[in-house]
Amino acid sequence: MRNNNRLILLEWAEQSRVDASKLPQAMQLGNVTPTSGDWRSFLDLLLLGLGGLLTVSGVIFFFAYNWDEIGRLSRFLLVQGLIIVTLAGVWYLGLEKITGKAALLGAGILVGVLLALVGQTYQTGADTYELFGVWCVLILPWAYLSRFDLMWLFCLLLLNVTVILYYRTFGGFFSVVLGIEQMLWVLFVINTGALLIWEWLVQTGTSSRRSVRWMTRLLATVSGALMTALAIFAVLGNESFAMLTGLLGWVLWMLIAYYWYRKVGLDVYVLAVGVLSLVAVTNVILSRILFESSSLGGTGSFLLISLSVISLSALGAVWLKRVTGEGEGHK
Amino acid sequence: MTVRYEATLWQRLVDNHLVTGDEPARNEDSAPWYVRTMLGIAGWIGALFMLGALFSGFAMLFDSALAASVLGITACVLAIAIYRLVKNSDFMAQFGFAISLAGQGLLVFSFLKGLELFEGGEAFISQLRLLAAMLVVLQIILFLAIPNFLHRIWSGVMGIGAATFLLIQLGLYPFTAVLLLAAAAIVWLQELTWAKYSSMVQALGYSLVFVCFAHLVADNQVLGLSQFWQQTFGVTPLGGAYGSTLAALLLGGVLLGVVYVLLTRAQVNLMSGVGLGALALAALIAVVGTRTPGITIGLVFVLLGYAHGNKILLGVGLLTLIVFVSQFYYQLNFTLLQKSLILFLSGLALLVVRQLMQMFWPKLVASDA
Repeated sequence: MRNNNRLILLEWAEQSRVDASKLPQAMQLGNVTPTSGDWRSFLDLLLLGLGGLLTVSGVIFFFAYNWDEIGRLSRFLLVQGLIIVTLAGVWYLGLEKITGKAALLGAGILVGVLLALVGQTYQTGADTYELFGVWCVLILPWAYLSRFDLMWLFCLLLLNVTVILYYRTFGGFFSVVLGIEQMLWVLFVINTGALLIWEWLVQTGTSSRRSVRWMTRLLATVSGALMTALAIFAVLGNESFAMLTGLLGWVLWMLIAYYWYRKVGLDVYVLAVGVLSLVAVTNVILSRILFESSSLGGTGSFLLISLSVISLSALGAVWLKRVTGEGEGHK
Repeated sequence: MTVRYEATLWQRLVDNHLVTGDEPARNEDSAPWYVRTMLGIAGWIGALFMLGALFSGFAMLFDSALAASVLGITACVLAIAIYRLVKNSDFMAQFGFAISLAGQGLLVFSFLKGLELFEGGEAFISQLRLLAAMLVVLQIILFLAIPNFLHRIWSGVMGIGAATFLLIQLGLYPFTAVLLLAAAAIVWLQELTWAKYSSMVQALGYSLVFVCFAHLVADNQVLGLSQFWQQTFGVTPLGGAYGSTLAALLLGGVLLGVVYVLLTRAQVNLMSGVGLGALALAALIAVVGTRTPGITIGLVFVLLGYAHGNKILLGVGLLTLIVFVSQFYYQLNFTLLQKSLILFLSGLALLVVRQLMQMFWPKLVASDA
């Protein structure tokens, strides 16, 4: 499935260089449209993914209903029974198959249902962040065994939720002492750590960049967005230490991301995230300088910032298109 | 020396006698989707600051609807001129986008001011409808006049959004989702036939998909928007109690129609095992979709995306499925027990179908693929 070929063929058809009646054949030659074999594999994956998603969601909804007519023992037997059945499925299918990996992910989600049931039944008094934290720790060995990207991503999601809920619980204290920046820094360290581990796996050949590029892009987007938010908080704040660390961290992130995704393993998507971050942070700095000095007045300041946003993004687009062209030449 | 893949593809077409002559030059407006998204976000922010500059520089804009509308129209005309006269300049395209958005903002403001919408009152609803009609006309003009993909997506989303609002006001509320989905399906299925107007067709297709997605999310967020439209706007839904049931069935009809067209195009005999199996599966999902419309809508996007090698459409379809299931939890039309049964049984049915597929349609050997 070649998205680039699709766009090129449509462009040529728009220029009347490829006849519309011959376009379906051209799409096949360009590997754009799927063959019957491709359809077969795709439907297989779609039915597995959608069927799994709906089944597990159904189980979660069922336990959230908290049906009074089912006794405690029955509820525990039911959810534990489901975990055992799913694990038996994993054992039967094996972890080499995608079905086995998906079943293990399903079992991992059911562990969370079991933990929620424990909390619901015994009113343990534990905070919600503890549930997500324990859930993440409990299924980590399965994630390691499964070697399944989605399972690792699920663990990372649980870790992020744990941190956010922790800061929400103790928000009163931390917001007075350190503000929201501390939570953003913790999330940044976690997600950037995950990105670094992922890149290391790609470099050592354990995972293929091309086959799961979306993972790189997702982790880089989250990491970049958090760093950008931290840099903006730093610029808008009044503490010189926070400003220094925020801006220094952002500059470092930008330099490393540029080097890595331009020189080592080209990924124009991540470079586009970097350009957007550059536009955002530069213009927040400019806004602060202009509105604090009031030398240009409101109109001039607004106009200058507007032109700066437009110019920087247009320059960024020119550069990104050139880099895309270079990358395509090597395919 | 590297060989560009466009050149390789062109040569392959020449070898198969599909084209003749030299390879055409690439269009300048052919950046990847994420570069366009970045430009869109930046253009939107740039436009907001430009509007700020206009309002702080011309205080009379706050008082005079006429001044705001004249300036708004001027800005829109200027944007059209920039896009049509200055080619191959990313800066001017981005500048034109910001100017156009600022102009549209001024026009909306002038309408709000002129219709005295800020003051509220009894005529508020009819004035709001007038504003939506104005937006539809304005966005159609801009969609046709400005030859830029990013701007066409903007105009498409705003125009179709406003048109959907007007359809809802006519009482077509239960059918708006199915109308949007059917329109999106037709546009994408005709993508190759209408390839001469590809940039417009694609922008229209994506706009319909985005508005359909937004409609679904908004509908799920609260106790069905139906109640909201009835209570706030006094809209009586077409078809009464049967309207939503009929709409749900029509939604399934769109899915079946898409599957039928795709099977016909792939020259699969509809009476063969694969043909009947595919139609039966689509019918099963259509039945489930009468209670869970997001699944039908998401699947239509997924199928269209995969069939046309369009990864963005495929991604939006998968996102629709995930977002819908997570939002379904909060929908108050059913109890959690009913929802759990619907999801669990449909999920199980799909897994059973997958097992049946393994038995009756085993993986093809390399020669079949």
